[in-house]
Amino acid sequence: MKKVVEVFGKSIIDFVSAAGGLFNLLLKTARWGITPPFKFERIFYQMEFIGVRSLFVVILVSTFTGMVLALQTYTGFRRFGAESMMGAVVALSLCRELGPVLTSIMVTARAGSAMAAEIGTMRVTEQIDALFVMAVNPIKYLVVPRVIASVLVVPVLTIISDYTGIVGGYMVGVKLLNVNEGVYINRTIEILELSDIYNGLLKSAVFGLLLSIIGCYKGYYTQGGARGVGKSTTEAVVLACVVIFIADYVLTAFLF
Amino acid sequence: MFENIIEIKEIYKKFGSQQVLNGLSLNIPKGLITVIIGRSGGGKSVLLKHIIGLLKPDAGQIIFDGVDMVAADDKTLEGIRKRFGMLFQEGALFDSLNLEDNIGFPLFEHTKLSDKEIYERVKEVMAMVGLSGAEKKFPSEISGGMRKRAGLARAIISNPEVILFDEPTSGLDPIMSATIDNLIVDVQRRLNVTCIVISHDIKSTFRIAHKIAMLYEGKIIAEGTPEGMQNIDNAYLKQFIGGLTEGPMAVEK
Repeated sequence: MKKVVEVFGKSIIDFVSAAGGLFNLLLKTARWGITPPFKFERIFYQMEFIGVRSLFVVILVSTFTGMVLALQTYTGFRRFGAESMMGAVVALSLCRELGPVLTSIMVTARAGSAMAAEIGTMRVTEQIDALFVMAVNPIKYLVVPRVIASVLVVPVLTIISDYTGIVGGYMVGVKLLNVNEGVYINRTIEILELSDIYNGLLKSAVFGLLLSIIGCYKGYYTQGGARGVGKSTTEAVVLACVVIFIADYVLTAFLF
Repeated sequence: MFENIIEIKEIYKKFGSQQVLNGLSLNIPKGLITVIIGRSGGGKSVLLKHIIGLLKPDAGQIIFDGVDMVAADDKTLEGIRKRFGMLFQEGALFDSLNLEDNIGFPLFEHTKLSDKEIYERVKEVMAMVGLSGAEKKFPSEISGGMRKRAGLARAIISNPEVILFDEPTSGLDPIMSATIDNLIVDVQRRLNVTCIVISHDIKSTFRIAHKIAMLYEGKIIAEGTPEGMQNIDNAYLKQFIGGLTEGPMAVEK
């Protein structure tokens, strides 16, 4: 019994201290983010790394998602003769849900993990101490550019992902399954509202913030050599994915 | 006697249940090389991190040039840190930057010098440590000895008043160790800086030190000039300098 309480208590403590640490890092990032001097080239460098280099994988994933979505809705909707609604359903699911979430997950896998690994390696090889000693604040130098770049770039990737997903769905729906082209497109435009797209983009900006702050947090507090870096990287990806899914529900339920 | 640039007064530091520094006091004379010796894992690096303000003691004072670093706020500390240079054990170079950007880093961050002026200054210090021609190399492409020299170049480029060395000769072959030792002596003489070296390399210690202090169990148990140290009758010191397994310090099994 004592053991159970112990394990339960410890996990609560771990959770609370991690949440506190994350929030603390977020506050520090905000404070250093508005403290001059501003070095925009670091933000641009990170935008290239997080954004441009994720482009290919995001396009690939979203195209196939759009395609399979069309295939699945077709199978379902045909049973009650609602094929005409296919295009709208595909576009709605992509813009409101799958575009932002899948893009964020792919960016987490690619860039969030890299943040944890890179900053973690810098921690264990004393490079972060070296920054401190040279009177350069490591949060300003390492965390701020990554977080800003991520918040700006994930929504952009999401737009591209929405678009390619819809194109993928169209290809399967119209070209492969021979749904009437005019109906498919008209229904999509009729039902999809601009706010669906905005809301998705807003969510994706929040996800960008979460995945980057978690990646940086796990990297920044890495301990214990190469093994520690591996552990931080894994934890960063797992935690960021879980938090993105939870935040997705919360945001969708309360805001939109 | 010499003027002291740093005075450490009775500092204590505990990590968990382990008392790492236990009422340690030490004066660092200005413009000389002070070597702190002691066993591996004996708190030498922790002491060094206190001197530069990366760690704060649980109790005690560290006075740098009249300012109490323990009580100082972040801004004052940042100003003080700019007067320090530090050579880390593995160099701690940024592996995303090539050597000239690494070495010029403090100048890029803290001065308004043009790129051209900075690279000229980088060339100068690289020549001083014998790294001319390696400007475009990345830290992963060079040897451990070169990394230490690059770390030293980065430490001296902003003309610090105090340079800290974290085991500058560990992991190097005897010839490279001697080269680094000569470099420390040479840099100290040329720039007239205060050097604080932590080391467990006895040979190197006696080659470079003006003052030696021995750290054991969180305290300085002996200090003096290299000649003086050899005459101090302290069983711990004798065992350490002689490199003996027999003596008051237990060999961990």
